[in-house]
Amino acid sequence: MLHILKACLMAAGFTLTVSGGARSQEMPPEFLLVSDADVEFLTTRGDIRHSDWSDAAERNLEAALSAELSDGGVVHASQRAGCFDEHDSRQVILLAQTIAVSVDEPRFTENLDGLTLGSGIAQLQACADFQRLALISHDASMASSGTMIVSVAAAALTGFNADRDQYSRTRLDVFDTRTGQLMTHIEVRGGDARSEEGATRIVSRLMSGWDQ
Amino acid sequence: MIRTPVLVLMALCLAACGTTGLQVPEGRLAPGAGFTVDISDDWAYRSPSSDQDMFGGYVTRDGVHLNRIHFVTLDDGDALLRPVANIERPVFLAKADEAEIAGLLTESLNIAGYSNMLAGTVQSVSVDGHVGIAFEIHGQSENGLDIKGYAAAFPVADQLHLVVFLAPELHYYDALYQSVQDLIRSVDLPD
Repeated sequence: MLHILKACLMAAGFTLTVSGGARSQEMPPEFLLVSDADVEFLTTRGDIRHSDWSDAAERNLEAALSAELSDGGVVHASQRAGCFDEHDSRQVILLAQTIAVSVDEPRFTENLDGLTLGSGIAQLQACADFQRLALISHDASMASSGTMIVSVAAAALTGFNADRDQYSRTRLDVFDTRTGQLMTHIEVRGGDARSEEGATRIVSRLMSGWDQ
Repeated sequence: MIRTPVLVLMALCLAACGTTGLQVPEGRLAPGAGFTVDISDDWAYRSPSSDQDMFGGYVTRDGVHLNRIHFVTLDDGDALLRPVANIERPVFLAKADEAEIAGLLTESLNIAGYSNMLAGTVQSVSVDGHVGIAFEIHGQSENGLDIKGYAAAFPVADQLHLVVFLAPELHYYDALYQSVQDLIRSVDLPD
């Protein structure tokens, strides 16, 4: 789940981390960075969200993307964010997340024109000054060894490959704060964000597809 | 070990569903319901078999999570929801009053994955010579996003004709409200 949402459940205080020492003092940070990861563990008894894996993936992806974007300055909506916990701010983040999922769904048009946070983006700017919202979201399913054995055995017996249950998908969505519009949507498949190295490789692939 | 045949069946079902893709309607449409509507050219239509949760067809502009207008006609005793194991589905009864019709919709949406769906004040609405009811809906999607909706329901004979608009309260509901009202006014109900 989102850092933002988890923060709702925490009694901790509010901090914002701003990185990017090379920037002018007058310029606001370029990016508000929000990360979200949901990693499921596939077992023979069903699919379970793995909190530790999800937290690690979220943390690793945020760190990797932050390193890539730090030249322009990055504001992190971290786990201890307070202003971003408020209902109206959370709603904007949730809408951004919903838009990210919707880009690849059947829509009237293939372009990104209708995908916008509208005036809601101003709610986030009340928390911190920034120029673009960067949302990195990751979802993956990892199979247990028992599930793998069952899948392999089933494939050998039937010719049907049930191993398709395993997947990994990471999206980067960038919104313009002036209009609220989605400017960029990039998706990469594969990779394991549970490790720092894996997350760095995923982010590197995302960045290679992003024409900034 | 039961997993494999289940997965094979799921794959076959998905392959079948893949043949019912998104269409851009032109003008008047019978949207998987017992009535027709005028769809403006910036909505895309998905046939009833595309919805795994509810009977009826729907149109969307930006994806089903961002906006949808759902259309369905229920006979006496019909459920809005498709059958789900071990879940009792609310059904439409021809003798249902306004509150029960609103409750049928909100309860069905709550079972379908929304939460805290509640109906607002029920108002009378007249379309195509038939008097029906209209009401707002408020609740949340599965991820907690506030959802707002507008429903128009027309009991005719022993049938209930429903038009249900759902969108995030933030930006999308207000942006599309007028288009939805125009669409509802265009409904052509059976006599």
